Amino acid sequence: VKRRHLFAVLLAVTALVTASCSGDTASAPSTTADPLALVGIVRDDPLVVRDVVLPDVTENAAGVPFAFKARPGELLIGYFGYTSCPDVCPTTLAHLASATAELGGEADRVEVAMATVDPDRDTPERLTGYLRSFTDRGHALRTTDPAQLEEAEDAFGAQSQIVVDDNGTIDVQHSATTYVIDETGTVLVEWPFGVSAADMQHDLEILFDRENGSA
Amino acid sequence: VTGRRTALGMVMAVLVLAGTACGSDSNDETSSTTTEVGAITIGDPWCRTSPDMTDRGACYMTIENATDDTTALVSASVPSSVAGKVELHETTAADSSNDTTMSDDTTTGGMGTADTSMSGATTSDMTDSTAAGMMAMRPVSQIDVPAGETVALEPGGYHVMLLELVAPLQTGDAVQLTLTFEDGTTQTVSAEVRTS
Repeated sequence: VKRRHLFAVLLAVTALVTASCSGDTASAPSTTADPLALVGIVRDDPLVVRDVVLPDVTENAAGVPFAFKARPGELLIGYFGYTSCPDVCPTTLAHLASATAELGGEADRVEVAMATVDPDRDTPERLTGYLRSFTDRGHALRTTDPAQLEEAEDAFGAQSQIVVDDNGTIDVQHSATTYVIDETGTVLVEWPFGVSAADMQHDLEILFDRENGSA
Repeated sequence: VTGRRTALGMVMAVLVLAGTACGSDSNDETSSTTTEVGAITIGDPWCRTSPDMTDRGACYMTIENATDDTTALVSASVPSSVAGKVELHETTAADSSNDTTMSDDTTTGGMGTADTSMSGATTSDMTDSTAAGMMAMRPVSQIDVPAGETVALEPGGYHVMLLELVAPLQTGDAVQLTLTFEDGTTQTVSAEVRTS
């Protein structure tokens, strides 16, 4: 225990020395100097996805066509994934859920549309239940027509691929990007896999501020 | 369980003794939660809460190898009351090279890869992302942990994948995770279930 204390003291001293030597006060977290800049990717020529339509298989929706645009005054989060995904999808969706929860009143102005890239295994019930673990404002999207899925993915610059190997192991590759879409069906910002909940929250707050400011 | 832990303790004790006998550095720290010279230490083992309707889960941790020999995690197991099957997996970026793999196998009409720009500072998380951001997961036969190094099993990288979950993993649960290393030694750790 004593050794650990000594170590801690050494660390502290080292940190102090380092801090006093370097001129700048290391302040910048993951964001830029401009606190109003979005953390995610913003395209010079934004994607427009309002014409992308997939069947909404959420409970009671009964396959009604769902178009990728937010309700007026809201934001829509688009994601392509699958429920047998143990690592990437739940990581992103958990970050999204916690970012949204931190928005306070604005949390009710965010909807999530998750399209499955694995419709064979993801039944409507399964996809709906999975999505509900992360949000009660979700749209479970599922088409059994590969061409329709691919067309939707193309509009987002996304891809997916399912390979079954000799052992019968199903390998799903998919774009793990999350898209934030406005009421005109324009993608405002894209979050590659690995964006933190805090950064998602940061971007959503900025986008809602812009929305409120212009309203 | 107790027997296994005792055996493990003995192995560790022998390792520590061997280390000191060689006259390298006499470190007599014996706390079980912190770094031990000559030991393989598991840090912050945890499993993510599993969403409804899926029978898959993932667990993460750090593995510190303070021995002089490279080791490897070769398998993991959990009680059959938790999951039917456990595998070691790695998530990788399927198109991490910045070339145009997009155009190879699909008809992504004109989806340019060049017109993206980060409006914020480039964070390390995003530097190797491409427009499609494809991720893939593959089983691995082992996860190497070189001598003196710490390897992280973390979201988006290596993970212990649980298949055929008996019940959803819920916040507050603990999973008894038994890890087997290349030399046949095992360690059982209690992995906390949490959301992230």
